[in-house]
Amino acid sequence: MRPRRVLLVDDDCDILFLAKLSLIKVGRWEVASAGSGEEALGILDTFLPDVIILDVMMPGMDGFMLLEQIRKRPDLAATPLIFMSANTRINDAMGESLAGVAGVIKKPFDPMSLPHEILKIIKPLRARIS
Amino acid sequence: MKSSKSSSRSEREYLKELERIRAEYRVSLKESCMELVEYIDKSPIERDGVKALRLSHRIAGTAASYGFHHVAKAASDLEDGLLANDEPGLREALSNLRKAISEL
Repeated sequence: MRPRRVLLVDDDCDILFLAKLSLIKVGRWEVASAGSGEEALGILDTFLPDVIILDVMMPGMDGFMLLEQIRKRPDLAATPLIFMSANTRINDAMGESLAGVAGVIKKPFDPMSLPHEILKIIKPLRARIS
Repeated sequence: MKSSKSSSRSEREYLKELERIRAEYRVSLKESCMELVEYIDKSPIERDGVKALRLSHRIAGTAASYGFHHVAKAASDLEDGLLANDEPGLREALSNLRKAISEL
């Protein structure tokens, strides 16, 4: 079985670092990370993830704009995408009802259970990740 | 048995690393909080609301993930106060943030 591959996108390097550590050490996943939407699109040219976790509020290209760009790519059209947000209104209002988004992980998150949270969201989607 | 031992060792290593990066983050969090106090502790006209809002949002979202819940709560209250233009609420949240900084 090939390793689970995750792309993390967040402009906050402290969040990126903590989430990356959690997914590598607890989830034992292969992780790529990007500090901006633009950087994420560059990484996606060579790294095809099983799931993409992205921050909603980022300067420049925000989570919604990045989502739109990702969905334009046929090779990523079915890749589960999870928003990560500290905005409670986004958490309450969007959830699974937002088109193209598998779910929302609330910030703050527990680094010990982050991989489990991700699996819980994508499991019903019968994603490639298993 | 072997796998359980290995998993337990791996978890210990992870927790140790988590504690190390938490200690590093504590230092930068203190600096960020002091910067936030500087942004907010001004009259509403002199205040750079966008910078203050951005920093309070960032601290609120990050500090609790590292286990600094009091700081995160104060930053979240500051964010709410800035969005609502609630000056008394801001003053109270600022006082709570100062207290949380002193406990870091």
